[in-house]
Amino acid sequence: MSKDQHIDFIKIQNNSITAAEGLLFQTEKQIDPFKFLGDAYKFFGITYPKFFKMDGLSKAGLIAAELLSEKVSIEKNTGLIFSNSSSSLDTDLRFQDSMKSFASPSVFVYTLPNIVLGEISIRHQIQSENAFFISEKFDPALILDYAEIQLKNSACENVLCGWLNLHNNEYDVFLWHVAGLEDLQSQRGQLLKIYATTHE
Amino acid sequence: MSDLHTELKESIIEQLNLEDMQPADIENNEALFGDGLGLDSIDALELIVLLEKDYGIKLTDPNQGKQIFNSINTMADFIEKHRTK
Repeated sequence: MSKDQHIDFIKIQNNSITAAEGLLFQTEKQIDPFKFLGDAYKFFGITYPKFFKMDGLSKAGLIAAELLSEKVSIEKNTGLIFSNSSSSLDTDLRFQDSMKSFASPSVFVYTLPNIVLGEISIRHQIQSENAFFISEKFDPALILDYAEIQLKNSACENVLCGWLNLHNNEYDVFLWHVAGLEDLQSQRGQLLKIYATTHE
Repeated sequence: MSDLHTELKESIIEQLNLEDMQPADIENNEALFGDGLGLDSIDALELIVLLEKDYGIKLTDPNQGKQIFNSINTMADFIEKHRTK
């Protein structure tokens, strides 16, 4: 396989959303992550009734998956394998803060990082395997190794993979698609380079 | 429309993150759940919290919820009769 094998991805960082083909959306200045994600949601004309009730992690994941689904097939047998370093800490702290007066049920339901996988699954009617790993930094080998196991076991037909981190008002989202085993092998060694290139 | 009705609508919009919705968009008799406003079970929990936080009403019987949270009118009626603040 060529080193320049095309990989479909969506990256969200520093008030901008980019894809393999270039910049898709950007705000002029640094704004609150929730405002940025809300603006992006409206800009792309996405309609999902629960969007504004979701936590930041789910909002970022849903937008990235939505944009990726315009280029690749995300369907019933798509596996979801995500990872981050902050788990759901951003929402955990919001929930802790709400407990000073009245604990918020709607914040509590997002105090797990894998809730975003459920939101994406509902949106795209996915009924396949999913996993959310916590790792210190973006580790494509960890995600691809697990994706390979799932594909070899026929637990899914293709995989939506992602690094999805949100904490301290900083977000770092990198979602990409693995079409199958052959595609997966061709991606090894490329992802860190793409991630680094798009994170300047 | 009473001040309480308007206040309730504003609180619900804020508390439940009903983006782009205005108080005037919610009819007093409109069903809050199901085909009406489309609220869900987590929203119901938020409404219970709202009753306690803003009006000092603690629901002791969960079965009351279905009747109380039927519409803005039923919520306002219940609050007027039971509020402690």
